[in-house]
This record gives sequence, C-alpha cells and structure tokens, in this order.
Amino acid sequence: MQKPSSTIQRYFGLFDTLVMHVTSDGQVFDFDGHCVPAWFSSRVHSIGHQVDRDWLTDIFPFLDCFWEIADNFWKSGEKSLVRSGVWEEEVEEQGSVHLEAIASRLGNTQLLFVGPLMFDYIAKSKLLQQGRELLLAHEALAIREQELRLSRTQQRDLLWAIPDTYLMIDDRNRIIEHNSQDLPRGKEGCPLGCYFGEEHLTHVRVGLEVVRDTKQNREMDLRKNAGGTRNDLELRMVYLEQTRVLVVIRDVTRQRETERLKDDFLSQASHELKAPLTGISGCMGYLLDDFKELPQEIVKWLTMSRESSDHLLRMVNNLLRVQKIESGYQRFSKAYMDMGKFLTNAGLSFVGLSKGTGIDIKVMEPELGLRVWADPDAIRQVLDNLVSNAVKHSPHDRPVEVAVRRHGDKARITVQDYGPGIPENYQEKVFEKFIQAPGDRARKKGTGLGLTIAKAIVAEHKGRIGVESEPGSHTVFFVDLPLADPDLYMM
Amino acid sequence: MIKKKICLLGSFAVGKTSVIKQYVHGIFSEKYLTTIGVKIDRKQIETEAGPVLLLIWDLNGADKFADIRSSYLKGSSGFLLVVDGTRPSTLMRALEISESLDQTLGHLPRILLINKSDLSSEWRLAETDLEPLLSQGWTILKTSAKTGEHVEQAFSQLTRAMLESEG
Repeated sequence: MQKPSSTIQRYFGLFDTLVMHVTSDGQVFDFDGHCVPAWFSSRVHSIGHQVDRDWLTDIFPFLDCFWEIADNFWKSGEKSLVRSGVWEEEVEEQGSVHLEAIASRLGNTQLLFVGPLMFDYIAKSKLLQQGRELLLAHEALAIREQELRLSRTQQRDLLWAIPDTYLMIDDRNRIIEHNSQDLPRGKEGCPLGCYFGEEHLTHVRVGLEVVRDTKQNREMDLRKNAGGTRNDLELRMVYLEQTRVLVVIRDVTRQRETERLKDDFLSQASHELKAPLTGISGCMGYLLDDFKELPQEIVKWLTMSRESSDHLLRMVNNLLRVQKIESGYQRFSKAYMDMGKFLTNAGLSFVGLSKGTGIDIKVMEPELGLRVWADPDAIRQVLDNLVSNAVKHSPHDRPVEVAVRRHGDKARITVQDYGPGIPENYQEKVFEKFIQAPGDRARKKGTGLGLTIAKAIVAEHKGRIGVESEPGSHTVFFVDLPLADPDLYMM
Repeated sequence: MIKKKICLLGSFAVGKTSVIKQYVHGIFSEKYLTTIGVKIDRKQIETEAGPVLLLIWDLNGADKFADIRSSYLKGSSGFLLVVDGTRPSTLMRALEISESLDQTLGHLPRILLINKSDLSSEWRLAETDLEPLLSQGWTILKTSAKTGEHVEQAFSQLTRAMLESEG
C-alpha cells in the first residue's frame, strides 16, 4: 500500500521536500525512501524509510523548538497548518539552503513537511536585506547629524570665547552668525556691507570666493577709516563645511603702531651708528694697511677689532636695507624675466658663495618659459641670500641644490641643503629679524637679516617665501613668484 | 557528551553571524549579509568537566522587520548579547532583550559583547556607558569578529558559566 506521504509528494510534485507521515504517537516519521530530496540525501548518507523524532532533531537541531508547536497543532484540530520559521543549513555541494518545517493534516493523517517551501522567500529575503541596509544608513545619518549639531554648538561656544570679532558667512555672502556689537541679529543674517564699507567690499568678496574655490584658509589686511580714526585689521578666512566661511577679524592697530615705532627706532639708531662705525672701520684699515711695522700682537688685536666693526657695519647696512624695503622707499626696476634662464645664468656665479667650503652648488635643470614680473637684481639678492644661507649650514660632502619649477600659477624657486634642518617651531620665525634656529644652524656666523631681507623683497613682488625642513635630513627654502600674464608679456 | 545550546542575540548588523563564523570557522567577511531565520553551528570544546558540544544558534537580528520568536530560545543554557560599539542604540536593544529573557526564561548565564573593537576609533560607546553595567554584575567583553579579539574567550567563559550554573 502506498504511504500517504508518498502520494502527496508525487501528487503535488514536492520532490525538493521531505514529506513525512507522522505516526499516532508522534515519535516516528514514515516517508518514501525512493523519493528523498537531493539536499537531504546529500546531507544524510544513510537513511531508511523511517526516522524518529530524536534522530531528525539531531540532524536538524532547529526542529527542537518546533515539536511542541507541531504537537499542539496536531492535537488541537484547528487551522490547516503551522510553520516553524526559516532556518539555514549547509548542504554538501549545494552550499547554504534555507528550510522550513510545516506541520499539516489530511483528515486524521498527521503530516510533516521539511523543505525550501517558501516560494516567495527570495523576494522576501532581498526585501529584508535592503530594508536593513536602509535602516543602517538611516542610523548612521542620524548619528552624523547629532554629532554635527554638537560640533556646531561647541564651535559657537569656542568662537564666543575668543576676544576677536568673528563673522560666519554663508554661500550667499550673508553674515549668519557673529559676535559683533555693531551688527543686527536675526535668522536671515545680514549682507556683508553691514560690516565692511564700500571701499573693501569687493576685496573681501574676492577673498571669500578664493577661499571657497580653493578650500584653503587665507589671510588679508584691511585699513578701516571710521569717524576720523584709522584701524588696521587682520582678517583670517577659514573654509568650513557647506561652503560657509568663518572670518576672524583682529584689530592690529596698536600692534602695527608698536612695530612701526620699533622699526623707526632701529632705522634711526642705524643711521646714527653708520657714520661712526664707518669711521672706526676706516681708521682700523688705515692703521693695518699703512703701518707695516706694527708689532704682531697689535696687528692681531686690530684685525679682530676691524672684523667686529665690519660685521656691525654690515648689520647696520642690512637693517637700513630692510627698513627701506618694508617702508616702500626701495625702488625696484621690474622687467619680465624668464626664471629658468635667469637661474642658469646665476648658477655660474654661485661658485663664489661656496668658495673655500668645498660644497657643490648644483643648479638642477630649470624649467624654461616661467616668466615673472620682477627686479632681476632684487631676485638675485634673494637667491644669493638663500644659497649662502644653505652653504653655511650644509655639510661639506653634500651639495646644495637650486631649482625652479612651475607651482600652480607661480614660479617656485627652491634651495635645498642637507644640513641639520630647522626645528618645526622655528620654521616660521627664521624670517624674523635676528632670529636664528637653535643648535647647529645658530652657531654659524651671520647678521641674522639675510632671510628678513629676502622676505621683504619677495613680499614687494607679491610673492611668498617659506621653508620646509625635516630636522636631521634636509631643509628646502622656497620662493613663489606669480607668473606674469602671457598676454601682457606679448604686448 | 554534554550538549549546550547558546543563542546569540542583538540588534541587526551588530556582527552576530561574523562572531560565530570567526569562532567556528576562523573566517571573516566585510560584506554585510542579513541572517534570515536561524542558523545553527556546532563546536565541540574541551572543558574541565569533559568535552562539551555547543549548539550555537544564530538568530536573525531584532528590528522592526523581524522579532525574536520566543520558541527559538527554548532549551538555551546561555546567551551572548551582541552590541555594535559604533551604534549606541544597539546597547539599549541588547539590554531590552536581556530584560525580556529574564521574564521568560529566568536568569540564565549571559555575556555582553561589545563588538567591532577593530573600529574602536569610531566607537560611540564610552567606558562611562559601560561602568554602570559592570557594577550591576554584567560580564562585558570587547570583541572583534574581524581580528578574533576575545571571541574564543567569550564562548569559553560562557560555557564555564553555564556548567557552573547547572551544577
């Protein structure tokens, strides 16, 4: 006689499902041993026509949580079937299979189906996967939003703590946040013109545009005239997210005034010192050159005195030079220069700068066609100052390398040495008057003004001078000069 | 041989399946694949009480799409409650699950796993969030299914606790 399970299996074509007839005591499951699904026979190597509950549970531990539900169903007589829920099994050569058990009934015949019965399973699982991925993305977004809100609050608190004025500018150039007493407050913000006068508005707008385009911070100086008083302002523009720009404004009027007084004093003192120093140096020279019979001891002391007074004179002259450039009294004879050609020619006379040191000054093959609008003599002085500075700090067996390359819309001159390097906290200061880095670099002789002069000259050419150094390895001084407009050059 | 059923519970995408894969097979995959239903793995371990066969139930994550069926928990001897250190809400969910376990099954041994310790720089759970739980007597382990950190320890510590609790 054919088993009911076998009839159902064949009638409904459930060949991927294990269809079992459950005996009355509910412990033994009878099935058609000739019609076992492939996933089951590959998993269970030896099988009869009957299995008991424990054996099946041992193969599929998941069923352990289903028996009670199934028993209740078979006893109750309600509903047409009860499902176990899905579980996953690894099956030989088939990989992962999702299965489900269903307890059902045909009259008094208790049936148990085990198989991949959920026809809509693939669609459901895809939906679940997508739903959870969406939930994850939503969660991440919520966390990010919360952090952003927190950071904005912290940002505002921090800005309130600084003594400078700050303005937060949005992408429409409206002041949306500020700590200025002179400005109105409101959600809509106010236009830039509320704070900056007509004479500065374009300048500030251009600055903001550059900051947004380059996403780089920018500094700017402004002189504000209001109510008969003049204020020097230093603006620092900081790019923030969502094209907002933070502008921190510091009133540097007093600081600039102090600097001017200091420079005036130095300039005046230098002028006063120059004449007597020249006289002293001249007299020493006269004594040394014209009195050949002086005792050796006196010659020694006189020579030392003359070296010292010459050094002092050089310092005074350099101070006066810095002062002249910084105050705008230095006249520059600017012309279009091809920096590549200029460097090649200058390289020929670099030998003099390393005389007696044995240091090789290498001019790396320069890039040609980089034209700048500059004073060749002044640029030559910048170059000489940087090269002689590098020679001073370079070990005798390593070269000093000079190069010129295009750097964006600038021509970049670099002077590299392999000396002891400059500590990071001194790299900004080396261009200040009389500042020298500690350690080996500081022990070298110099007036401490060479780099200050170079900086002043570069600033007068609307360029930028800087240094990058890795202590113990190398130092690179660079000068960026704006490339001249080729159309202008053609004229 | 002693058999013990362990269930891994927690919110979705906290790394329950990955923790088991690391423990049983020593593998890890970056790809997130949601668990459908239940997956059961077996691992035999040696203990002072002799060999123990662990039946490790990986239950699909609890969320608004799917809930934990209480019938799945029947016969469990212990639980690993898994939390994603980068998602503080998953800690809340784990504690809710733990509370519901207390109500339905009594106080069975359990360990709280703060997973994804390999991403600790992105964690949004601080020590201060965990201190109150430690003082309540929770056993907490920081795990990484990726590197395997404390994964083995989590299972062996839970097994010891299960054996001790059943005398």
